[in-house]
Amino acid sequence: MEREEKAVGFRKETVGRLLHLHFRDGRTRVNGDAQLLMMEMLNVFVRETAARAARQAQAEDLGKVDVEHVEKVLPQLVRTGRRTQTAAQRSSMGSVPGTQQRCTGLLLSPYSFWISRGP
Amino acid sequence: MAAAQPRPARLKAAVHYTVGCLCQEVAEDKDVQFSKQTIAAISEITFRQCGVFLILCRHAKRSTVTTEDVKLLARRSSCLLKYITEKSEELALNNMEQKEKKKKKSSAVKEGRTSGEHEAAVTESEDYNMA
Repeated sequence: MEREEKAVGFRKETVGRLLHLHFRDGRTRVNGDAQLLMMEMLNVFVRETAARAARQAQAEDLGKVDVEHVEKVLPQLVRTGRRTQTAAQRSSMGSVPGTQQRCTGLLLSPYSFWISRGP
Repeated sequence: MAAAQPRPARLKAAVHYTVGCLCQEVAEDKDVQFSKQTIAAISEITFRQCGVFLILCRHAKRSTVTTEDVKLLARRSSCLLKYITEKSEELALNNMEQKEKKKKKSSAVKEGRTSGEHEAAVTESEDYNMA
């Protein structure tokens, strides 16, 4: 049975509701184009997290990606808010190429596993 | 019949589904498998990350988050910023094209309404111009 090709990723409506959920004051709005851009950001964020976690698992010669692999790559992607890292994070970061990043920003470079190769 | 789920739970389910689809794509590309717990973890992180994104957007004293605010989120990574900027430009171009289409439609409608009244005047003016 043939399936129609659908774009994989977040829908604009879902993103809109997500953003409104996080607004506490109820007055802040997000314009339509900003919603679409946020949608792209979230798609990239999820793909990049998944791709890096997969890469981490492969570096450990594993074919299955587990939560620990996500935990290891997360500091590269999000602000931790903490200068100190656990010993596990410090030891794991060395095994992934290009991981000597300062965890001071929301999104760190290189953010390129998925973007540079294209969808 | 199950009662209607509260909104956050329904949204989380929607996010979980989408994250599952995206992870499936990555799994096929990288030839790996993602455990269910991994997909749940990424889903939870993504759900919470929206809140963090918004905190950063709120620095400007405006009530509406715009594309410029979203672009600021990407400023720390040059390739991500380039990607988001390209998408933003595509959106702007799309908006302009749609505006053009609307203008043409509305002017065509106006011409259609007034053509019956001014048809004679128009043909006269055309003859005048062509002369």
